[in-house]
Formats: sequence, structure tokens, C-alpha cells
Amino acid sequence: MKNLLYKEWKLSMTPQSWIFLIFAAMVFIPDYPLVIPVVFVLSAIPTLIAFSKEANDILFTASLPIRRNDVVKSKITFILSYELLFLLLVIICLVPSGILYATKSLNVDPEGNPIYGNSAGMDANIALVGIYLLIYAIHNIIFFPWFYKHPDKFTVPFFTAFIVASVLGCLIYFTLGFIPATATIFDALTSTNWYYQLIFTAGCTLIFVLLTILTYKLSIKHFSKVDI
Amino acid sequence: MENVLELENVGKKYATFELKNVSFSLEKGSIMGFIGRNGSGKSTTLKAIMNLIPFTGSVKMNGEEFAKNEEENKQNIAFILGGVNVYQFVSVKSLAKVTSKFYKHWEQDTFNKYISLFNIDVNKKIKELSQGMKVKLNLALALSHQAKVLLLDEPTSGLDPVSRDEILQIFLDLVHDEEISILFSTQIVSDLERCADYITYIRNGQIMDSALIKDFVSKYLLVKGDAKKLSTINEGKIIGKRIVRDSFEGLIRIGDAGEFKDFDCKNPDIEDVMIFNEREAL
Repeated sequence: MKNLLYKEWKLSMTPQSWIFLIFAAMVFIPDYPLVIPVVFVLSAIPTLIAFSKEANDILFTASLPIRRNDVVKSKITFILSYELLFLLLVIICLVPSGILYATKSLNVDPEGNPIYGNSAGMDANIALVGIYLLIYAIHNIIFFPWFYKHPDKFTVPFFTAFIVASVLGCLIYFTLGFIPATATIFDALTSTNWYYQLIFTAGCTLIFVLLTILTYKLSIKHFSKVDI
Repeated sequence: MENVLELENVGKKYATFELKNVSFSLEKGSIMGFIGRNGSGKSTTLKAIMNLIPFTGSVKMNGEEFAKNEEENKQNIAFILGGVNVYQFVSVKSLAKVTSKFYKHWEQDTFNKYISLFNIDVNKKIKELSQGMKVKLNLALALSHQAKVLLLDEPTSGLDPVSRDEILQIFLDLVHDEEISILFSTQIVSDLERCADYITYIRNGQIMDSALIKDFVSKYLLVKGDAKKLSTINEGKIIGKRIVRDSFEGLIRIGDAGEFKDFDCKNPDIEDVMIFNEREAL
């Protein structure tokens, strides 16, 4: 897998896809929904797939001394590594942006008291990592198994996966951030109930792992019937 | 002689085409030309060998089922699809570096030797190479990982006569020490006459013949004569014919020669055998 991943990053990465990673810095925008950057990175995926298609990547990869299944594993692992790299960049940016907006107030309440943190949804905290993983998992489980039924067509699978994952992700983000019952836990930088954020993220990580395993299995199953 | 590749009853069904019971063998150290019309099943057969398509039947490499030991078998095989361009925006150097990671027996010196022999600039992007250069690059990659079997789908299509001749000469040099075997599909019959030992002819997804070139043509005779005389003979014995004004030309099996003694007979070439067999199919 190490060689396949090297091949993917060396041959399948496009210049535009590097630029999309810069969107991780959007978490510095004040009072901005922190879920939006992930939507940007998902929109980079079709450019990566289209580039590979144009480069006859499947044929090239399948001709290498690997098993047929590894063609699928290679591409999914590459996209996953791209998604996780973006998440890592988001986390790196969230730390200074979280500290910045926890100490610098941009808004005041009706009584004139300063409001700290993000007023456009959840604050920057560990639960955001869980939401990102959930969005990735939903996107990937819809996109990859569908795409590997007909690897020459990716538009409909991509848009379906993109819309479903983005809408669900935003729904979870705003629900946790705005509904009073959950906002006390999730719309906080330093909640005393921080362990709930941790439990939430652990749960999301588990779902991410299980759905990713299912994504690999279903994609390989569908690809086994495909003529390269 | 030992066979490096053996196909037995390979089949594949599409909505409008079927590959039926394709069986033939590639002898070690030989060059086999694979001929047939466009859409006759040549590429499908080569893809089945490489396990690129699901199929029925069996493909064996060195006596063992190819798919069972796919990774190891692909170490010893090189598959080149003519006219298929990969990673146009990548440099030759980068493509070679990535490819080298996958092969246990990769020899950088061998790659450098062929690249220099073929006059390929490693800093050029793939899209900047001519079609002939791309074929040569693929050959250089294949030879650098010590491939023992070369599967080539129309490697000489689109090449000028000089480049074609160069490629064919490379094929002959490669099989000289009988370690490398080549199976290549082509539409250009003169390529076969130039370098192939064996010929396998496929028509509508079925293998019509797989034999040494001299045996392939020696099974037939080309007859010519007055078209009016056709009524005097059993036309069913003519495999395929063409009538030009008052005369006809047709292909017959050598065993039927006795019935055609009143006509001019001569030995056909590969192209005659293929063309008249295709006429039978019309």
C-alpha cells in the first residue's frame, strides 16, 4: 500500500487540489460556520477523480504487479489521506483561531456584555473533528461503491454524495450549536462537559471506521464485475 | 518447447459481442502475432490474460492459474496498450520512478540504457513524446523490470514505417536468447511476416487458427479463373471469393485442390488468408 499511496500522491494529485487544502484556513474567518471548509474539500474530489480518469489511471494501476482489488484500495486510501490531511490542517488552524476568538470578543449581548467564540454555530472544539469524520464517512460510503459500479461515470454519484454529506453535516453542526440543550455542551470552547465532546467524537470516529471498512468492501465487490 | 501462457476456453459475453472458447498457447522465446478485424476480440483476449476483465475459462502462466498468483505473475509480464496515453502531464523520469517502486527486479541501469538507445529525454512530459516514442518508453519500462512476457496491443499502429521497423527489430533482438516471449496484436500483416514465429487468427470472438506462420498459410491455396467457370465447380468449397469483372479470385483448402485443377492456383500470403476468411463470414 505504501507504494500505491506514493504513486497516487505523485501521479494523481492535481495543482488545484493543493489549492483546495488552503481552505482549511477559513476557520480564521470570524463568526463563520466551521463546518463549511469541509464542503470545499469534498468539492476537490471530483477533480482528482476526473484527472485520474483522463490519465487512464485504472488501466495503468491494474497493469502494475498488484491484485485487482488493490486498484480500488489505492484510490480510496488516497482520497482518505487527502481528506485527513485537510482535517489535520483544519485542526492546526483551529488551535490559534480558537484561542484568538476565546480571548477577543467580536460581539456583545443585549446587556452589553462581550460574547466570545463563534456566533455562527459551534465553537472550535474537539467535537468538530467528529463532525468532519462523519461527513467524510457519509460522502465516501455513498460515492465510492456507486462510482466503482461504473468507473467511467462519476458525476451523479459525486453530486449525490456531496449534497447528502454536506446537508447532513451542516444539520448536525447547526443542531449541536444552536439548540439550547446541546449548545451548552457543543457550542463552547472550554465546556466543563468537555468529555461529552470527547465521547461524541469517539462515537463519530467509530462510525467513520465502520463506514470506511464498508466503503472498501462494497467498492471492491462492485469493481470485481467491471471491465477495465 | 515450454509454454509461458496457456488460454483454455476463455469466454466473455457482452450485449453485442461474445468471446467464445478462446484457446491457444504462447511458446517460451517466441513471437506470436494476434490478428483479426477491429472488434474481433483481440484486446478483450489480452485484457482477460491480464485479469482486467471478469471472464470464464482459464489463463495459465508458467503452468499456474494467472489470477491465483496475480502479483507475482505481473512481475514477469508487461502489458502495453497501443494508443492509450497515461499521465500526460507527468515527466518520463517521474513515471519511471513510480513504476520502479513496484518491481522487485527493476534495474535502473537497464532503463537508462534503453532510454539512451531510444533517444528519449527523461525530462520531457509524456504528452510531448510522439506515439512511437511512447511505445519505446513502454518497452523501456517493461524491459527494465525484466519482464519475461510482453503483451502488446497494436504497438505499431500509428507509427511511421521506420519506427515500426525499429520496434520490430527490437522484438527480434529480445527473443533472440529465448528468455522473452511476445504476444502482440496487429492489423498490419507485414509486421507478422517481418518478425512473428506464430500467428493466431481470431474472427468474431472465435479462434480460427493458431499455428506457425508457414503452417497457417500452407493450409490454403489461392485460385483464380474465369467467373463463368464457377458454375462448373462446387462453390461451397471456396472459403471466400471476390469477383472482378469476368474473373474471380478465391481461397480454398489445400485438400480441395483437386477440384480446382483447371484454375490458376498459387500460395496465399497471410493477408489473403485473413481477407478471404473474413469474406466467408460476411
